[in-house]
Amino acid sequence: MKRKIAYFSPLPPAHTGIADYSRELLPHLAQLAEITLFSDQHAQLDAAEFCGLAAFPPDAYAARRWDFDIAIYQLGNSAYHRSIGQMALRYGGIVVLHEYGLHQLWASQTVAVGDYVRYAREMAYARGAEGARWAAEAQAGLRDLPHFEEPLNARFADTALGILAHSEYVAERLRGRLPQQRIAVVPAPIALDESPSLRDRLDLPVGACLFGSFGIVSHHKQLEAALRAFAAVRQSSPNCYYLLVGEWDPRDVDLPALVERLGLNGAVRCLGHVPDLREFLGWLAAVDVVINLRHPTVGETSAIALRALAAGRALLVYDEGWYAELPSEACVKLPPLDQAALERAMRDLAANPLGRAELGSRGQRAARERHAPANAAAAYLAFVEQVLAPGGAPK
Amino acid sequence: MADAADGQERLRRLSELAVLSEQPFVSRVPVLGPLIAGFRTAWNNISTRWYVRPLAHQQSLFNRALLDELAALRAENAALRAELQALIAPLQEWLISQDRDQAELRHDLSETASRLGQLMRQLDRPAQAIGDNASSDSGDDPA
Repeated sequence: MKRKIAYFSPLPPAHTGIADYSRELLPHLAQLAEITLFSDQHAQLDAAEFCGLAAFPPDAYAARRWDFDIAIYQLGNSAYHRSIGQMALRYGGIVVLHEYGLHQLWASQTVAVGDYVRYAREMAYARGAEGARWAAEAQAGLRDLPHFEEPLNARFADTALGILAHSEYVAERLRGRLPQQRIAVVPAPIALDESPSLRDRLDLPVGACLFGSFGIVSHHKQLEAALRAFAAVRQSSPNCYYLLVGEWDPRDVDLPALVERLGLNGAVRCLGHVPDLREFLGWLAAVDVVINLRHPTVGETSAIALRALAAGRALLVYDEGWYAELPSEACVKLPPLDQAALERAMRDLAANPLGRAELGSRGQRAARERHAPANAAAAYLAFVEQVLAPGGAPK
Repeated sequence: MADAADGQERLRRLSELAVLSEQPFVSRVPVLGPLIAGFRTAWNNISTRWYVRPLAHQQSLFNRALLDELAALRAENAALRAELQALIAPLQEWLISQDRDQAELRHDLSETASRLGQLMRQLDRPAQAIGDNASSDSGDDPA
């Protein structure tokens, strides 16, 4: 008899990588278990895309919870996870941590609405009196919120019946704090993509090398470092271009000013947010090299990096966090913030079309072997069985 | 700590201003300046010095007393803060441990609910099977 699973996640049309992640995973998971969806987007779902799975708002779970063997909660930092997080804390189940740090999720529900009491409670839960003091200092304007010093995942981790992560980086940190908790690493699912390239729309010169960065632009994503390296590469290889696909907050990154300052007008194309996934993948297929830098990292899994591998694009990342666990033959991993190494790698890739193609195909092979959605779904089910096994209580 | 140090520094600066002192008359007028200053001093000695000096002295005493009182209040405030902190710290620790206990209980409750749910479904299955058999039996009943 198939397991009955309540599956909590943001789902399309929500603009978050985790919605797309669930779209990749669910058809395969639904073959192995009876899935019911709980999502704020329950009324907007394309039934065909989700195999006609029943969908309800998250708070409908309370009345139906006895119908299920277990609940799975997809947790990330965006606002789409608020109601999911509340249900995870209230009813428990398996928590999937897409990022090690959930500080932003808590801050958006507390500090952002002026509720420092709840923020202090959460900080104190995680760090004791020191956490309460940090919260008080943040409220008094004496320090920034410690996003990178304190992950604020403790309450979720303690309450869960089991935790799934997508990297050893995250799992090791959790095991260090919770040696008795059930913790497993499952591959992030990604289907190979053969979307037609939209490169023709850019009207680039023949033989041009197109670099690209995708997703929401923030200063943690080190776009300035990438564009500075690009400007240097362009001195010797002028037939290079850079495509930026994703929205940015002008208070965080003044992209037009940055492009102007680096003298890159005409060489950098900014498309902004592309809501349609097919079009997004078309632009991903258009570039030769995807630059996906992030520092510091909160242990997040990058959907963009996975999509770049699945699309057979050459990929450049910093060698830390989840990214460090990508197969070395599948991408170029650079020491974090090493500008000279970044410049060198971009110059090498710009000069070597064959090398780019080979790197891309090795990445695509790695995506196929390690991140096939069917494998991810099987790993999910194996973990569900581990959590539900009689006498398997770890605490 | 920084606040306390700032407060001490402000008190020190106030105490420098607390005692009123007489200022000598000066004049910047060339050549005649010393004469003018001397005249003003002489006139002051006759008309106002003996009246103003006791007032200044009284004001200085008042300022000193006020500063002493301020320093005493500051010390009392600091002592109260420390006392309050000493009361709050264990209370805070207690609340944190309660919060953590609550999370542990929630975990245990989820674990128990999960086990209970599985048991209920296991119980339902034979009952459902019996029900299915009974209905198929009744279906076979020629009556």
